[in-house]
Amino acid sequence: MIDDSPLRIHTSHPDKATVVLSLFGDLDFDTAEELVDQATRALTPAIRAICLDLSGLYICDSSGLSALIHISQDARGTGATFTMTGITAQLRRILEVTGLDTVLGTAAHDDDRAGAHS
Amino acid sequence: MTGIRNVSTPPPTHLLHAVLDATAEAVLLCDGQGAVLHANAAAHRLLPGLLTIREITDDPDSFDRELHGRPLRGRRQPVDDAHDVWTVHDCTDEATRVAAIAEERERTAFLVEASRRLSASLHRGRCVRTTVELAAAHLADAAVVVLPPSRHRVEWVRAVTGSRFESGVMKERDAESVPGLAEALAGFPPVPSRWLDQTQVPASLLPPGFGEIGALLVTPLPGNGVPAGALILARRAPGVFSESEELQARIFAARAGGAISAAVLYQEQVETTAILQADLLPPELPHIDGLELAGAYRPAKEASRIGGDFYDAYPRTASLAPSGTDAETMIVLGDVVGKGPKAAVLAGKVRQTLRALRLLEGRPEPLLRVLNQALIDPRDRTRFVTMVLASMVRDGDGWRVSAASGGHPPPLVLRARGGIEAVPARGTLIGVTGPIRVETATVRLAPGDLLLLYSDGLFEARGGVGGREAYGEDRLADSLASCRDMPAAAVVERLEQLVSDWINGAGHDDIAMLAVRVPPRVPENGFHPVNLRRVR
Repeated sequence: MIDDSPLRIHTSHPDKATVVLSLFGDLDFDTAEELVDQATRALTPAIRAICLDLSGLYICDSSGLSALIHISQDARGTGATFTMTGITAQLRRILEVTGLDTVLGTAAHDDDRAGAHS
Repeated sequence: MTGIRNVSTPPPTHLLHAVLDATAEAVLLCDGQGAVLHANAAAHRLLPGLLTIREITDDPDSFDRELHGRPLRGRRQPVDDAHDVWTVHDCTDEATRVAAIAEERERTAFLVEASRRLSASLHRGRCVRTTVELAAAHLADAAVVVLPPSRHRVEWVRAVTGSRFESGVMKERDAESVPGLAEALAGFPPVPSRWLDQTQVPASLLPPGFGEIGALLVTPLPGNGVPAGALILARRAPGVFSESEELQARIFAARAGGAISAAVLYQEQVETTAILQADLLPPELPHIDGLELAGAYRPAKEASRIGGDFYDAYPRTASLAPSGTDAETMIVLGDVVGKGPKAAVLAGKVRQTLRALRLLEGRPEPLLRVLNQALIDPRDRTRFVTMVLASMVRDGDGWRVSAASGGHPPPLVLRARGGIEAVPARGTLIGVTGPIRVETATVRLAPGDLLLLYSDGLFEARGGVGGREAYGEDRLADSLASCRDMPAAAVVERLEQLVSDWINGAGHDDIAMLAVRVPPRVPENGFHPVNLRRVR
């Protein structure tokens, strides 16, 4: 694992049909493609749900948002559900300003869940 | 057991002579005073008519000297008290080999140096100049580079050893009279110099006073598919080019041609980029009566000067719409996902589409919806643009602004009396999803009020003490609040300066700002505010 990388992605499988990508660091112009690549590889036919854990995200710029759209659409294409958890206040604000909160269908109770973890 | 068996009885004298004659080395049998008593066949060839070794050397034991044009090395071996044997070795082959190695080293050093100097620049003129300078210094008495013909003319650059270089243009017809040049420019392999008639060279090729040409070598400068030109090398009479020199000239020409054609390609790309980006850079803002406009644009990639942020202002014009209503004054600032040329192309597309659509639709909200439909690309649903679109109409001594947001950070208003307000325009980003949500917000600008549209690069700029902290919306609002009573151009400049100090030279996303200010009321003393415009 390269610690210097501005984005680290940790993949886990809570069960056979679910994949969770946990992001740490910056999701921006330089790293967005890396996330899309990893998510595309993770979306095997057996996967019914993909979840992005964004609690470790420091920066998310427009390229990062583009990556989130990309992955949600890929998931829709394979019939898997797409969810995001651990949405920070800052990211929540960006999603609201861009109107992506409705497009990506982020659950309203995400904040509560993130709060419950802390 | 191996070895040579001792023979008790010596062979006859004529056989011993035959053995000596069979050796390649010269062998001389001399008496104590050096007089030659016997010489083998090689000695007769190398030192004909030699009577005593003292003719060649005063040294009693050895010599190294040139005789009859050959480097010779002699060594004495005493045989008995009254007789010596001198062996003399012809070192011509060794000397030739040493000279050849030295020459080869010099050539390699030259080619290494040539490659280094040729690759130092991507400027075509400088590459051509370096080529003639190197060639004139190392390969010939004069060197001329002739560039490929264009409109029946050819450009040439030449240098004569030890003097400065010159350049000019000649008719293609005159250039073709140089033997072998037309073939070289067409990319055919070079003709050996001994086949070229140097008397056919037009006098204008070399400077006056160069003298009679002894040898001429014309080599193509290979390029990317088409030749980058030709190299003409000339030597004063009675000079010639050896085969190895011709080979060296060809290797040099290959490197020079590669460097020149790379420079040409680079220059073409720079020109193409310049033409394309001229249309992608922020436009000069129009003059709008009763408004001060100022824009600032700082792309993430300073070198290319293009990026994904854009702004524009459209003055009120008579509409082409069937209803006959007038298109209102409109301003826009947007941000395309990503950076660099790819983002700039989408930004250009958005701007052109907007320019056309606004003639038919003056209300920001329906305009954003139509634009969204126009930009949705079913093949790529990850490319989007966020923007604020505002129509402005005069409202007494101020302006009424209707702002619609396509997923863009809200515009800020700096009131003349002080205080910052965010314009509550909200909406979905443009180009991703079919139905979008757009909420138009209306705000009135009184004299002295300023409206700021900006891209998120402004408050997302990372810097500060640790270099990682975002400039942030709060800091942006505070910065703007400190700009009270300033003209629009000064506000934009101040904000740019504050962010620039915050970033402190580190990388950043595209940053764009568009400030619109209603000029303050004219005071009694007759001061007239000026409409300030600024484009970076």
